[in-house]
Amino acid sequence: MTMYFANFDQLIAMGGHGVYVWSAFAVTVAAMLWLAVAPVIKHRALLNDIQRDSQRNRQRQRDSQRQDQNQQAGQSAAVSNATTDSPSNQSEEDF
Amino acid sequence: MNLFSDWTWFHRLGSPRWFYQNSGRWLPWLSVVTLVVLATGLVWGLAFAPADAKQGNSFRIIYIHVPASFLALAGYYIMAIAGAVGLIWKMKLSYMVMKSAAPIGAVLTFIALFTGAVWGKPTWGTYWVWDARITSMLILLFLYAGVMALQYAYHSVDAASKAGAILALVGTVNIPIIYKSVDWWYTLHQPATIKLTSAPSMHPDMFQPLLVMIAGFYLFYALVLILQTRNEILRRERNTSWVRELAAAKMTTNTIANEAKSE
Repeated sequence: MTMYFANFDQLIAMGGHGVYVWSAFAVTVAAMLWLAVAPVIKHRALLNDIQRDSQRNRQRQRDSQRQDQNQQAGQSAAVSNATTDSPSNQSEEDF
Repeated sequence: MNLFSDWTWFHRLGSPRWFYQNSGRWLPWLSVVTLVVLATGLVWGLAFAPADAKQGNSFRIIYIHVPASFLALAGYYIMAIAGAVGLIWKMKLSYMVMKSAAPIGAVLTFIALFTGAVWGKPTWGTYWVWDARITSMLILLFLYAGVMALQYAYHSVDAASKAGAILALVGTVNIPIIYKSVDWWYTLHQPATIKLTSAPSMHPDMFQPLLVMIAGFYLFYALVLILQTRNEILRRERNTSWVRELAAAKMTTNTIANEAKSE
């Protein structure tokens, strides 16, 4: 198989149609690159975000558990009956 | 083979988790094959195919214009069918595919319109005419945009999916109009080059790279649809334990890799 054009300059010029052909191909390649690359970047960002979220959640749970323990240690056991929705349950529902 | 007697394959296919895990295995291969096929078709069409007797080299735009138009239409079928499956079987994954297909189809329709306009200038002497084919393709772009907009118009994901699916299904009336427009109202746009029922009206030297490009665009479409759907799965399933474990595992491998790099 041989190339249709004799040299590189002719390939660029496309017999006077170079502007049309190359602009059409450039826009298409750019649009398709964006279509393929954007979701890959988004994928990484999503995984990061989910990981950060669940870490924050776990931290909050740990904090609220510690709070509960402190409260229970400081106060009498009778109070714990009143706090039916404890902070640890709430923080789980928030997210 | 009990593929049809028991429906586990159908339910498995409908499971976002199953889809995410398996598609991850195909992605590297699919990416490489897509890149090779597209690069081959691009070089072949741009540099090796002969010029058209009447249109000269501007005809080379066909190598992106026709594949992009094909996929803009095929993508609409995929979106509408995914929407219908979601409505009928209430399949979550199906709605995710529908939502993912909309922006890809919109970009491909834009490519078809843009390359058509650029091709029109040297061939017809104008970038734009309100020809039936061109107008119906513009309507296709608006339909894609409509489905995309509906995904963000509702607070409830379920309501947005249903509304999108209904618009996608109603919009399918436009598809046969696009196909037939060049025959029904023949003004400027040329009739189809490729028909299933007859031989192509093109020389094989020009036709072969076009087939390669069409195959490449189909592969590309499949690749991007899978990538988008995987993101949509993560977005909608982010509170499930498997997604959290996945994110945690990815982060650990990343940190290990980064530490190894810095050492």
